[in-house]
Amino acid sequence: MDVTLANVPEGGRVVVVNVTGGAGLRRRLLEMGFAPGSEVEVVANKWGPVVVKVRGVTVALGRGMAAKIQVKPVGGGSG
Amino acid sequence: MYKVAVVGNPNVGKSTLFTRLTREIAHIANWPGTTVERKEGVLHLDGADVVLVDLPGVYSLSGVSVEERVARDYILNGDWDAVLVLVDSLAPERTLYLAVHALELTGRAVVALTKWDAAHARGVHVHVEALRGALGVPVVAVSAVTGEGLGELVKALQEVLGGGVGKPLRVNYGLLEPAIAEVEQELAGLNLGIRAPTRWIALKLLEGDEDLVKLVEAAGGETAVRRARELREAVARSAGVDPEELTVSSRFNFVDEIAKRAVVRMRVEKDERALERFFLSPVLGPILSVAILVAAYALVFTLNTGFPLNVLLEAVGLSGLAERLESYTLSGLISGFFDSIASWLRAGLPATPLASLLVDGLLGGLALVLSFLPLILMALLVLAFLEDSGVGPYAAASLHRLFQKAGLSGRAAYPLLIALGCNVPAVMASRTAPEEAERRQLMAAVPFVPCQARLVLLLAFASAYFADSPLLAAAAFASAYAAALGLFAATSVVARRALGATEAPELVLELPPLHRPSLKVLWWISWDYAKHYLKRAGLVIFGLSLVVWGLTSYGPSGPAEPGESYAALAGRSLAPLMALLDLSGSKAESVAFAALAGLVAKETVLLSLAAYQGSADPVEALKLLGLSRAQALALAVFFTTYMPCVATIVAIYKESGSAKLTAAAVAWSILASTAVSWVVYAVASTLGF
Repeated sequence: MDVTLANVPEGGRVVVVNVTGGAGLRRRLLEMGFAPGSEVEVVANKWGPVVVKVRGVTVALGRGMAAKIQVKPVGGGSG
Repeated sequence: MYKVAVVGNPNVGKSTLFTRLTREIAHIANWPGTTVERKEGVLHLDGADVVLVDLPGVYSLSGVSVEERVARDYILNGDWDAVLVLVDSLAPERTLYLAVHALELTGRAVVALTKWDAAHARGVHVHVEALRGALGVPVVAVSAVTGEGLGELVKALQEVLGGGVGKPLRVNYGLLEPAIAEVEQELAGLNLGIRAPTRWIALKLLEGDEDLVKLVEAAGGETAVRRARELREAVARSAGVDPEELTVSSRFNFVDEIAKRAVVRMRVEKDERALERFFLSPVLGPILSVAILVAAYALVFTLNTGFPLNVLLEAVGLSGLAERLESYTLSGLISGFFDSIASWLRAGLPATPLASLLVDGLLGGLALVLSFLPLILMALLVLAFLEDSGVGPYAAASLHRLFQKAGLSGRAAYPLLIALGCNVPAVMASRTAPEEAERRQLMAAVPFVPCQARLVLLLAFASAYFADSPLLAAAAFASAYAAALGLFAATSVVARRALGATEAPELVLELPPLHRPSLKVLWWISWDYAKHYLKRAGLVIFGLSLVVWGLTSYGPSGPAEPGESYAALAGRSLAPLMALLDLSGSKAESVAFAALAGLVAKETVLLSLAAYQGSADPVEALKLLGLSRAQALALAVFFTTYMPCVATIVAIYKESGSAKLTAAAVAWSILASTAVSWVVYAVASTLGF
């Protein structure tokens, strides 16, 4: 199963593998720093938006958005 | 005269730096066909003035959003002489992306590293010289808070304007390079008339950018477009990723290479995230957010109009104190001032139509415009404070789930809250919404939120018809508010559909670190906006209030009593509509007249009703109507929602720049309020009230 940002627990550190979604939205997420290879730290993920830290910036993502970002653990294998 | 385009990410500190450099916004307008704001300011240099054109805050120049398209179009087609790119020294790893993107387009640029004062405290160290070497253009570290580096920045701009121009930046696109070279050859000799290197155009064609494809085709470059499409597909097949992702990744790789050499991050021991975490907790977060927002605006409105403190005082039986409070508020002082001029003029002038024009028309209109000014100024100040300190974005994130149900994002909390005091600044606050559709949605929906004037109206209805039973009064009150807020939510949902957006806006919101903003700069920004409001909307509000004065003081046979005026005649012709609520005869006429008069400001509904019936006390006048409770409730709902006041209509028009949207919002409000109040009447009378 694909792991997305929406199901990474608080405090988790992951690396972006892929971003899915419509062309405009996908591009926006990529350019906000969620490009494959970027490291992401999950700050809050309990209720409401998923809050993450990426490239020195804190970003709140709606759950639908977060589910579009596929990730793997830092230093983990290819999938 | 030179022009400099200022470009940067949202939250990079652009408006603060802009204000710090120019001291005053010379010109505010919207970019053509959008609700995106265009600001210009003038920087006075020795010998020449430089106009700074503030482009919207964007993450890139890809053209994904309206803002990006506006920014890109200006860079590609605008008459700028240099570009000033802002990079956040707290987050260079992200914000350098836009700088790299912009520098690929032009070397006539200066990069400013913002928030330099905060960087060290947060453990970020940027090597300015290394950055300059990597980017090939002047790089200056600045702080809008302390003023550090501003002189150096101006000097760097002067140098670039004087001809010290670097080459466009070259990013290595790896797998795409052969394809770029090939498309570049196809493009040779083609003149597109835009300010971009051929390499950049080739890259865009490979990404499949529709705007560029059209442009190249129009210039006779069909072969280049076709070749680019073939190569795009070939690369996607062989590499397994599309060229768009490749360009973004390559640019970020380039940024990472630079950051490796020029940025050092140290662990800062102090944990500044405690408050930030609190905002993000499930139950306390939204409660804290609502409490902060409510407290901030309650303060603003209390200073301006006494509301909501006056209502509270009255509720506990201290009406004398409530009145004293109102007379010492800003709008109380302003209207007191104008009242005393008016009575002085009335005493000294003969009672001619000319005197009435001067006192009731001109002076009244002026008082109306000026009484809005402090309210708007302070609402803007609070908004700027919330936004700049980071409290606003955190509150928006924690309230997002709630607002999604109305087809809005968490940011709609500000306009909604401001609207409870006054709809005019609320319409202006719609600009904080992240997307165009949501902005227009809010402008259409905000007028249904009962402002302070309509609260007073509801209170009068309650004391005229529901005074004997506090429970019933509370129920009536609650149902009127529920109807109004229901209309707000419904309008937002309907407008979203009508604007072609199907899903609720998803949240992608940057949460800048919570910090204390520079009050001086906030004051400058808010004061500038308030002044521009006075110029832009003030004149129209003034003019329209004169028209309404004319319609209520003149009739077919010249100057007339309110009951014989054009407005009364119009009221008579509208009276049959009141049959929906089983109102007829003079009752229907007086209600229709009051509704028309209330267009200037909802405050005048009660006064007009009283004037029409020759009674001095509004509550008495309401009682004279002899309504049933069902009628009273329905009428209260109608008066609360029937149509935005003149000032709000003007605000919608000025903010959206669209006569169509304004007309649609007004027509919809008349239609929806009539329907809802009829339903309220039908339900309430079936229940036996």
